[in-house]
Amino acid sequence: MLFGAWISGLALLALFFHQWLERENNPNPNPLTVQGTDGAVEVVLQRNRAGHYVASGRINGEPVRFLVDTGATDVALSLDLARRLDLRLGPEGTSRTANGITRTWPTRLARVELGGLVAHGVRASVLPNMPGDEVLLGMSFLKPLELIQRGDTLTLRGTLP
Amino acid sequence: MPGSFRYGRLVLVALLGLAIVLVLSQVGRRGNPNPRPVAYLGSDGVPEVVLKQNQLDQYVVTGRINGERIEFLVDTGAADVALPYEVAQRLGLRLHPGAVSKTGNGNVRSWTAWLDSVDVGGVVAHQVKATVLPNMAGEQALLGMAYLKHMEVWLAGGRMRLRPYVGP
Repeated sequence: MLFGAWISGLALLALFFHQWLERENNPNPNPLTVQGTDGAVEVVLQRNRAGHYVASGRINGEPVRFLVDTGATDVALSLDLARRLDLRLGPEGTSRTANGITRTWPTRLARVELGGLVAHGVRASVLPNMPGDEVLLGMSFLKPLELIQRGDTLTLRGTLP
Repeated sequence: MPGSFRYGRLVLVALLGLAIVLVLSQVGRRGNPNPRPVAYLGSDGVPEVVLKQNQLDQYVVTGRINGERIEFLVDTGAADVALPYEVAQRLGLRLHPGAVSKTGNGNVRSWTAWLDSVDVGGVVAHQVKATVLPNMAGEQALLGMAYLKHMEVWLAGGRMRLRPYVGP
């Protein structure tokens, strides 16, 4: 019985650390949205330990993890995720990354959500060797918004369509 | 009427010239629309620099690493300042091996280095962490969060303003 208690204790500890690590990686599982009186929507994100702004959001209703990336022209996602989302891909092209040139396919995302910020028909690029499930939230989503970084928070501000 | 013919030709030449100038200026803006950024003192005495976006909606600017001129792409998606290996060699940086970097094209082994100063038009950060990548092409560096976290960054309507963050 003592052994059983140890095992369940360890399992609990592992669960705790898993959630703690996940939080370190993504401090914004439910991004806080504030709606101003002027109809503007504000989403406030916390920076993670690595220095990035990572947040949960949705593409076509499916939950994904975003990384805010002003260096990406489009929203960028892996081929695996694109298949899971059943996206229609355009003709193959190439794209420059920090690890050399890669193949890429253009696509459009019908609906991209980050908290209360929603965009339709967003231009995206699908990359075959992108690791993990993270989606780069590039300029095709960010351009119409106002972004303000102060200290370790990033505020994204937009108007409701 | 030879008079009006000559006039028409002049207009044509002028239009052609205008078109060439327009195309050239567009080509320039596509790459780096901020070759000589200058910081101005803001209303509260804090220096600030304002950048224009290029045709790809990205913010590219000429700055300095340890006093040497270099072209940056402002990139919140990069944790550190990311440099191609050749550029790091040219800057004479001391490289520490053993890091692994996640990129849009897979994981790659990389080096770590420390930059004494990173300067965009007079908006400066000191002792900035850099990642040096073996397969990064070209001369451009990514201006990542290791620099940007020290700054107040404001982005709206195709303009980006950078200034040192002085606290709430």
